[in-house]
Amino acid sequence: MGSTGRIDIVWSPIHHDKFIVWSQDITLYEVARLKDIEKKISFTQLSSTRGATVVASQSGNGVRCVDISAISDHPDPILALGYESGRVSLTSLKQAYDPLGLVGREFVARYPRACNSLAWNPTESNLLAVGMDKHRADNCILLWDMNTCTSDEFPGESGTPPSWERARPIGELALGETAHCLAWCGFSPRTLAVSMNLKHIKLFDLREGGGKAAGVATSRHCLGVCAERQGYQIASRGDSALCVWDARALNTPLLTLPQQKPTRKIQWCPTRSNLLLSLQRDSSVLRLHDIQQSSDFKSQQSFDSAMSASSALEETESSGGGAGRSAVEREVSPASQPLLAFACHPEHRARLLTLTATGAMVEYTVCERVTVSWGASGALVWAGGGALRAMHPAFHLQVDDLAQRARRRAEADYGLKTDLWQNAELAEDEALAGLWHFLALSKSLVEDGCIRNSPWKHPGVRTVLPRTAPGAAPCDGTYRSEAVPSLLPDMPNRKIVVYRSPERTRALQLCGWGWGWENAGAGVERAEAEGTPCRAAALAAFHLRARNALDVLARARDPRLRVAALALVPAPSAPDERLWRDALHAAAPALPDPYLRALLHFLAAASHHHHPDFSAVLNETEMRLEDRVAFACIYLSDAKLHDYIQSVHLALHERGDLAGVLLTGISPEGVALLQRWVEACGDVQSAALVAARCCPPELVREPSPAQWIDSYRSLLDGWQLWWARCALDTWLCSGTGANSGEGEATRRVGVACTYCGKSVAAAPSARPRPAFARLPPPAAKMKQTSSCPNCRKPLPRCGVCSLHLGTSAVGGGAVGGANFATWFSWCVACRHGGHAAHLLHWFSEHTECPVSSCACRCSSLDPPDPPDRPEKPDGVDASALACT
Amino acid sequence: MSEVGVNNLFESQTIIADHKDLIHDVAYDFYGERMATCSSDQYVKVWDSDGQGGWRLTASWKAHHGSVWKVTWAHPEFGQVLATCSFDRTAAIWEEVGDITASGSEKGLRTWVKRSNLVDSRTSVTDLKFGPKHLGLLLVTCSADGIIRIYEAPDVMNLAQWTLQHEIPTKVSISCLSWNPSLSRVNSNPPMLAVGSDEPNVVNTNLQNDKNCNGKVFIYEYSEACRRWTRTECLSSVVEPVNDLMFAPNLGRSFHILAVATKDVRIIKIEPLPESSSNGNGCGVRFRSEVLAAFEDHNSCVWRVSWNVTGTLLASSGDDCCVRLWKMQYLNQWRCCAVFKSEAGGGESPARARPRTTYTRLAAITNPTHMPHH
Repeated sequence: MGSTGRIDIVWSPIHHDKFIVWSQDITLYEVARLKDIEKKISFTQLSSTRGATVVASQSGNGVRCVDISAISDHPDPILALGYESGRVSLTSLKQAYDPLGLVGREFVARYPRACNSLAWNPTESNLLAVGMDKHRADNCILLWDMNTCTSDEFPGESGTPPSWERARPIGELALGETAHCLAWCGFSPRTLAVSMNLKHIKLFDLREGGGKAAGVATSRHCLGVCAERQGYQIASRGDSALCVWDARALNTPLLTLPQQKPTRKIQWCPTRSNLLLSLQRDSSVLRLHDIQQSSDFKSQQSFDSAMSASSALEETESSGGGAGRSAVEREVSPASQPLLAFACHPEHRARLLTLTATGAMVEYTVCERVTVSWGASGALVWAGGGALRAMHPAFHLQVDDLAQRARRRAEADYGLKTDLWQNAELAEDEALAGLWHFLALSKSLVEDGCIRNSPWKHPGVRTVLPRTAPGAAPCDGTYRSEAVPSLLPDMPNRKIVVYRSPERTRALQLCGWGWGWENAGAGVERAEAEGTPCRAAALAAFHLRARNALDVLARARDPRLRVAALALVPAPSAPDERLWRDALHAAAPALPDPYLRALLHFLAAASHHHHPDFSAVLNETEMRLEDRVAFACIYLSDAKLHDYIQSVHLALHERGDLAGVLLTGISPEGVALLQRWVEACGDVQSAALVAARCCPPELVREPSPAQWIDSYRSLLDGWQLWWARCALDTWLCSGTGANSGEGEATRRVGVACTYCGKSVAAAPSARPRPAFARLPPPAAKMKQTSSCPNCRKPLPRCGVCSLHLGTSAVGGGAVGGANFATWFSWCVACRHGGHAAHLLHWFSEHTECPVSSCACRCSSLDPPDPPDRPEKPDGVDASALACT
Repeated sequence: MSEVGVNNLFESQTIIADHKDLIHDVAYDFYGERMATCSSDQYVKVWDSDGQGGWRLTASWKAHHGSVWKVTWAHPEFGQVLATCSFDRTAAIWEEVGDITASGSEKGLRTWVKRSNLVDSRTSVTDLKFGPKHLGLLLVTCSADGIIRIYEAPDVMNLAQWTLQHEIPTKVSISCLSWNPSLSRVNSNPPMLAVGSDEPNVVNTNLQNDKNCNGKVFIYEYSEACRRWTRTECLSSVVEPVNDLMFAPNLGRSFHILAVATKDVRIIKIEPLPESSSNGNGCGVRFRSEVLAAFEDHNSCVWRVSWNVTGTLLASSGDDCCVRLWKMQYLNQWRCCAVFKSEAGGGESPARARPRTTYTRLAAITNPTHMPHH
């Protein structure tokens, strides 16, 4: 259909793995997977997985047109070849079993002239239409029926001259005209679209006799024509444009698509409606025209008014005069060489085969616009072509994404546990676990009174070490450490200066070291128990306990560590000391463990009497931050310590490293650090929880913590984790409530009177009524809650029991104490409501509002309940309860 | 079922959508429990999750007289509301209601009713999105003639009434838009929109105004002072036609991340500059933009991009028939972590192998009187 070039590709409409290439020869190919093709057979590669083998070939000499029939009960595709002489012959290209006796059959027109086009009817596969050149005395469209021909004949006698005189065409049309190209239409069974005489497109309905055209369109663009498989659209090609026609209204084209170069071939996509493919001459791209139509005829009339607006899209719309239609065009390039021909596969979606100028055949799959979308629950869905595809849930087991991790944590009440350290285990992350442990530690230090006068609930090292004012000298009066020369207990000949001050002690406590061996010894044991003997040894050595360090290393399982213990052996006498030191420095980088390296560096530096240089230890960044900082707190002078802490802090802040919270604590600096960390890793959950649990109220109101908390709230909303969200808000309120002290309004859910706007609950407690509070008569209580205590206006009534609402407000307004059954619930549409329990009961049996005159279908306004969670309150607006 | 291959090709399951033509958009609701699809066959379908990974078709109706390009859900706070836009030059607001005629046993039956038809556009409406919920019930649409329209429902209980608040002409064809989801209450960001243009690049571009026309992505911001939307930025790094763009959910960041589908998948960081925001409305440079990543793995054309809830995974689809997932590493580094083959080898492996979907019932199709007449 639509093929008039000398070079073409045609897929067999029924044998889905066979196609012919028509150039010098007509060659039948069979497509197979590469791995299924036997080794010896030569094949042409079509794609990375498929190849085509030659089945049969025949000379294409004199052939003007080719089409493959849809006759299904024949083992090989049957081809009709139209020759210049006007002869049409059937062949299967292959000498094979021929049950129908069609192969070799010939049909000859009365007057010889060239065949221009052939088309097998796709549904009535016995019909073949032939379009021919002009002859004065003959019709140019001949219709042959295989059934009637073969019934007259003897099957299988291809050798004898066929008695074609007796085979008459069953239809003859269009006397004295020229048919260039013909195509069967898909919308009704026996209808032909024919491009004729270089100026017409005619529709012939062969069910009617008379040979009159059922429709005529006049257009220059009628070199080739093709019809949609289903639907009324017909496309035609010309030298400078493509036209799309509606077979029902041929007077004007629906759409004219101007093309820069003449079009070689057009084809409607057989697997998708409204998609027209075209190939231009000398072009390496295929054009896909997605014909868009709006069937709203009224809007077409108003289209004239839209003409005035200038726009890119209207150009295509208006130039065709096809109101309400346009084509979304796309180009695809299956190969880099110019293309000679293409053919869409009749069944497989969007698969097509192209023939390039170099003779290669390329299989190409046109990828349709694939739309893709993420759901809040972590599901991914995409739609390509007609199918929707969803990601397999197993994906999340293999790719650990933050969203899934955060959700898992939230479901395990991460961040909401009473004790801060309990959250560390839920975090499943080392850095986060360290953070929670530090927060727990700093909190306990504050609560135990070890750290006083801290402005924050969770002080950091920088909080307890007072920073010098910018203008002041590095060491002013309040912050001067005492330099204590200390002996290495096991190395009596060595002295080293350690610094101590109350501030440093607090900093050491924050680092988990504590001052002195009596505190640190426990840390050494812990480190050894944790399976880090190197750290234990280093800690012991940093506390000048070479003996302990030696013991630790000796106990280590790894024999290499015992070698390292050699370094702890007391150094020889003074002259060799320098040599020993150099040896230690040289050996240190070779060691695998940062603590061992630090240990060696420390020993080397400590052996230097006057100006011990600990920078090698402090720069061992693989050591834990708390160990480095604690080390600095012991061995660095005030000014150096200050500089060191400052530089480490800046570096950590720059990187957004969570460990830096040790230095900053939860302070404005800490919040800035967390902000950087959130930006680096996106874990807003931990940041929001830390803010909610540890920030003082004035910090929570800072922009960034407030933003974290809001973001996390909306995440929890999307996950429908109402419980976690509620607990988060409870922590926030308790945090703000506890520290707010004077007159800070605590946010609570309350019931306000609609008339005076004052809280219904607050008034009774504000009013001093001691006498009544002691012995309230039941009647008085009822009366009190039926009207607003402030303005005495009545409270709304429950739509079910007709009693006044507000009973839950008795008792100071604490929502937590109120039973859910007595809660005030209402429909956001009709504003009628009642006691939650009454409404639940009501809507289990009714759809309409309980108020008699109201026809609101309150219960159906909610989204449908998930089938597996029927306990969700029906009729109570869940989002109103949960999202306020 | 697509093949499971070298460690990052993943399996997928098929839901038979039964749209008669190309599906243009899929949208999840806020909770990810409902899904709406729209197609060139002019139908919109709504699917409900059955809680076990399956989807059940609960409504299907002919929504427009042309291809339906996009579908989007409103925040559930406003009810079950969908908006669709179409080639027929309209956008429509749909609300799900209980069936009025149903009695007792069928009380769960729901139907979608067209509440409003927005007919202001004179060309195909290419995209629409509901605004962030703290701004109220806002809807922005854009059309092929380059006009952005912002509608507001002044009364959220009455979805029949939408007022056209702003009309922003852009002079180029707009294909997609995205609201900045940032919670503007907190960090005093004004409402912000990003729009992308699919205007093809003409070979001989006029040089006189190339400063404005080179970029294909524009940022619009609402200025409270002059009560107008103004173009505050044009991302000059994107010069190819844009098919889709989406702001990442802003989870506590001080900057915004925008994914752009153009010739490649682009992830762009847009950082507000603090000092110029104070002095005047929109004049001067408001942002510093930086291309964090550009991936050309989709052969030549990227169709869609979509972020997950935390903005740590980006899904993109393109001309290579694949859906690729990009995962955020530490410090905003991105890496491909999964590839889903959309259709294995042109449909040779039958995609209808084991459908997980069952059809139970179809909700009543909308009333024919709801068809637009304008």
